[in-house]
Amino acid sequence: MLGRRLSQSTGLVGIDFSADRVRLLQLRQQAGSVRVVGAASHSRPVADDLGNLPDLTDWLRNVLASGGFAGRRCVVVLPRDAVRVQSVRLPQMSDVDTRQAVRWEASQRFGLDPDAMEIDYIVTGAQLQGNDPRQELLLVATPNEATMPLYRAIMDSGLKPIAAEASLTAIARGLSLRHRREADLDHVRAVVEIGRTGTTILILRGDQIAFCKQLDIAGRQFDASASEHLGIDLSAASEIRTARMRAAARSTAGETIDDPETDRAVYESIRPFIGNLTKEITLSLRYYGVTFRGQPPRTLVLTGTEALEPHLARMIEHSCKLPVTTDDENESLAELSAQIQRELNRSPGCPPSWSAVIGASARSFVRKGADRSRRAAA
Amino acid sequence: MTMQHPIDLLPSEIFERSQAGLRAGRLITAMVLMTLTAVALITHGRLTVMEAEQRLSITKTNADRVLEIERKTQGFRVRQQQLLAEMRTYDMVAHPLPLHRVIATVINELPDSATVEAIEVTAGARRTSRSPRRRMAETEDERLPRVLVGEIAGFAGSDGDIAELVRRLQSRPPFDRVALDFSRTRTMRGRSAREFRLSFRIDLERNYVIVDQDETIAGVPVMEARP
Repeated sequence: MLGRRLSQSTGLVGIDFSADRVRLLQLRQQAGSVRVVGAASHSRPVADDLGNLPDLTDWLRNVLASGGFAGRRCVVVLPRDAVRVQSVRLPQMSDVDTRQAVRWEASQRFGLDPDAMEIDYIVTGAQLQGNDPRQELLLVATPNEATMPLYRAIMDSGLKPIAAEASLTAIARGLSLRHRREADLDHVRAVVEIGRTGTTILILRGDQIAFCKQLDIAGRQFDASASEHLGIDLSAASEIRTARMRAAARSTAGETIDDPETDRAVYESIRPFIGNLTKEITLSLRYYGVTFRGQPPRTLVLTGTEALEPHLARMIEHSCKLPVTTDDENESLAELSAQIQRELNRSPGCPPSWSAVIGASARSFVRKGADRSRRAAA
Repeated sequence: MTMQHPIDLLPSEIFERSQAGLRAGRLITAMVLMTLTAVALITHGRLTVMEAEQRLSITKTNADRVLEIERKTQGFRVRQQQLLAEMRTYDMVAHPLPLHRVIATVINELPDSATVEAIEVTAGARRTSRSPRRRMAETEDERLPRVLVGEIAGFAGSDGDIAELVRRLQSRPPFDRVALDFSRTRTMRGRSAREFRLSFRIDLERNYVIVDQDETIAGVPVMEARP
């Protein structure tokens, strides 16, 4: 009994603002398995929340009181619009010098005041060609003016933020719950997160991010294109697309699109975007192949709110010659999605859309000695 | 390849505020726990004291009872000693058997020709031979064995009747050491008779019981020795 208590660890409360919903999730790790402690979701876009912070605070306070969450420490996954990501190459320097150089570089590239932004970086480990002694870094920055209102609303609800991160790192962690050993570095996967406001292409070596590229292709563009193509308003187009994705996720009767012509028309409207996306994925895979030694990606994982777009997986699989899935090999998302459904007492929606908040909550499950974050180093 | 660290975009100001809040929460939790622990300890202490006081009260009551019983026992012991002393005194001064029954037994055993003129009995201590050492060790409380010494004077028709009387008495408890002191001729109303005097002893340290009514003479029961 005591051993079981000692072997379990409750994760942080993850808050995901990266999509058109606010999602809260808390995990508990026990005897090697992970289970959901509490979950909640709020179907308001972040822009609306920023316009009505007291409403967001009240909602957070209510779900904390009734959602089964333990503790008040939380990790915030920032909205995609508030995060800037850029790949740079800098000379090999000490950590302190690198941090200063990164701040200056980010300020220059993103046009932000260095004193009014938060900046961090990821060493990708790319092997640059020739005798180039530089290292490749992935800069991740956010202006404080875009995030401070969210932090204040969160703190007013009683939560205590101890970290904030971009959705790309949270997704990488969420899809790597069982790839955290050093031996898993040889396990290379491509991850494509398609959200409402943008797409991120990642290539993971184990749970380490080796490559990242952000695109503007997003669900809202799909909705706008379908609306224009079908001659219907934006909300109707969004509902049709949602129904198509729900039908793709479940094969139950009543949730399929009865009108094949409409289905075909929607597909035709977003096909150019899917074509561009597959082209970008192919380029990214090619870049990885020439920049990194070792194994190429063995699978491609589609995630994000638009991951279940019909025909998308098939087209990517055909173009990239890679097996495409929407979950990891252990089907962790499907397992956690069932638990989330029990916690919410309703359908959690598209399971891949929870991968970021899963990764945020699992932030405290890092390897012993591997937490070399900025504050841990300080 | 070195392991990547988790990126953190949280402003230091927010982080410090969170940490301060968490520290305050931990402090409050610790204080609440300490208060609860103190309350629990005080309650436990009070319960223990109350239990001890209750046990003390019961023990005091029991002790008072024991002391009272001890006091009564001591009183009974004193009373017992007094009674034993009185019993000893009584045993020393009282005759353990009724003399009228002794006389009745003598009369019952007389032959037809015998007549008793006088009976004298004397109660006293039996003198035994003592060594000088024992005499020195004698104490005041040492009680000597008592003995009743009697003498019977009278006359009978012949010496044979006198001898028969001696034999009968000797064989009859409680008489012991029946001895003829003397016998001589005596003339009674012109006729020759034998005057005699015999003595006997009765051990007063022995217990005697009265035999049943069949052996009584003129309603006076005789006795026999029941050691």
